[in-house]
Amino acid sequence: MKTLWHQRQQRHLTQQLKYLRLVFNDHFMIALIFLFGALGVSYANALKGITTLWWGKPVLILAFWALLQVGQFASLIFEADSVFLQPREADMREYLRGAWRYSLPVPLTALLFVGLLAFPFAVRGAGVTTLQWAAFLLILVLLKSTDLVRQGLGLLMDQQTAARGRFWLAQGISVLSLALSVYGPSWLAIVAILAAIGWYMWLTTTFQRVIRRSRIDWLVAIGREERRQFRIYRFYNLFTDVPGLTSSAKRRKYLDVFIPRLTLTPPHTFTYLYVRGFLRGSEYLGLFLRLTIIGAIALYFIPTWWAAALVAALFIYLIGFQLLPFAGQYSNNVMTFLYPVPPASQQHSFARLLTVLLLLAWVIFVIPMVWQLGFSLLTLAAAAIALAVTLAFIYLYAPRRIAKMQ
Amino acid sequence: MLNVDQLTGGYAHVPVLHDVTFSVPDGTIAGLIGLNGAGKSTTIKHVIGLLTPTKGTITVNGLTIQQDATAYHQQIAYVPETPVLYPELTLKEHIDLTISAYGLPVKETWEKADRLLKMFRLDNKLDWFPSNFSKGMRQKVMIVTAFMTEAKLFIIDEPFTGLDPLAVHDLLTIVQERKAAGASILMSTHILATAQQYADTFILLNNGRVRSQGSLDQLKQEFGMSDANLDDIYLAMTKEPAAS
Repeated sequence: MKTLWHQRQQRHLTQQLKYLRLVFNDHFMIALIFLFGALGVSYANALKGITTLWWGKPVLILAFWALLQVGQFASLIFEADSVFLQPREADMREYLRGAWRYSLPVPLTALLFVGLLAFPFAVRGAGVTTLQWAAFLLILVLLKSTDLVRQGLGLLMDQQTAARGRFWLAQGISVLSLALSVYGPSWLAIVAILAAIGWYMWLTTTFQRVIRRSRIDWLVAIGREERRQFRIYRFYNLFTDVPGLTSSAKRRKYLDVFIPRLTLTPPHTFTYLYVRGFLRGSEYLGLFLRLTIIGAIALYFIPTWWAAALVAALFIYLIGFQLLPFAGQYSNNVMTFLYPVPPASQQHSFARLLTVLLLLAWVIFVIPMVWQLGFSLLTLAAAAIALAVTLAFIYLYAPRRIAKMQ
Repeated sequence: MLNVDQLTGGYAHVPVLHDVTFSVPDGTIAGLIGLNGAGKSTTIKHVIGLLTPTKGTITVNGLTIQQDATAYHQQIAYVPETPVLYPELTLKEHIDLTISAYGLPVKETWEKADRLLKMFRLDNKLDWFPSNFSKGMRQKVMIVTAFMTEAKLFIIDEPFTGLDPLAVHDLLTIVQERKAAGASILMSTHILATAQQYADTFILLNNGRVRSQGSLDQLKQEFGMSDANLDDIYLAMTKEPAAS
């Protein structure tokens, strides 16, 4: 069973890495770096003038309690296992132990990373001592580890009622021990750590006891693992095509208001096709929205006009560049080739879609720029530079690039 | 009227067709018959313009694709072997898109389309996406969008596979209507019994060459099999040694 687990873990890991490489592609990384840069600068600025806030501690506790919910037990159980692993049910202990270990690193890294990021705020804004914060982070690690044991326990037979009770108990202990660690004198933090350790010990011994006599509840385990993986793959699918999870078109009737009413004549043929393909397909609409929203948020935090102009121009370029492959979306459909429509009309239709989308992005970007920089000549200059880049992209860059792609 | 004259061609540097000559006059149904790999689909790809001949010419009513691709395609309607639909468009929008692409009159064409949709029992599925359709239904959508146009040449690649018997019957009905209206129809198929019953002429392809062509009587004479059916002739042809 140990070997089986190792094989699965290996395969799962390779697959995740393959997708993560696609998710964190060059363009997305550039966008993220700018976003984090902009957020970091404004975080540092905000911290400068801060004094201890009464809501600092409650917000920290609530935020980290919410973050504790992230990260699920990755059992990597397949549907076929309920048939093929039935005879080995008694051995599932080793398998589940492996799954628990495998589930740990991602949520723990996330908790500690955010924990370190929040450290300056905790000290300056919430009046937490360094030692208290260290205890806080240690408790987070213990609570998450216990939480994963609890989730693993929930995969066993006849645990459904007990699981519900344990869920609420877990939430109570989490909030309580986190609160104890930051409120009051330091010795209370030690009490909180002991409470978390006790909770961990109790659940692990329960797990050991239950698994000796209980079997895996295959239906529950398979269902949970499928939902978990589906969520992850749906996220990957925003960036790339996940086989099996076909990026099927969605009707999205509410977006029909954006479809222009055009006469059904040959020059409008490809506009008809492109607009619907864009609004109902999963790929390009998501990409456009993602980059536009990230860009707008980044611009909201940029206090210098030329930096704002640069970031706006960069995001316009990124959005436009990622939309270009959509021009060839239907080139493998033989019917588009057969339409008695001149090829120039197809290029024209795509150019119009691109123009509308990039100008829309530009308008959306100007709003946070004006918000942050105010009405001034320099704001106007920044908006004008971004607009110039938009138009240059549409009229100079895109046609050449598309010609090269075909 | 489709004219294929001394067509030699195929995929880049892999000649598949050699010196293929045949024609489909107005108001006739021609059956394009041959084994897998004989060159039926390649011939069709040349006719619709997906492949460019290395030698020879293809004209539809005197027009080649080189002269005016738009006008050339205006005359052709094509039903591919595997249905190709747009995943993001509903059935209704597929019809609107076809109306738009061919510049057809909206109201009259919708009347035609409605009749075809009813015939193929798709009239209550106008708002469906292709992903909800079975293979046969997709095939029917392709047939509807092809036969609602004013094309003068209909090219139908393996039309009968995947269709239910009723749909096969209906398809043959509308094909004959178009034939009566003066269109040329080129139909590739393996279903020889149906071909024999409905096609006026046959083009027998073997190893990328036209082995024989003409009406059933002409074929019988050529093969010296006076009371043979298309099946027998076809089998006789496949047993001949490959001409190199």
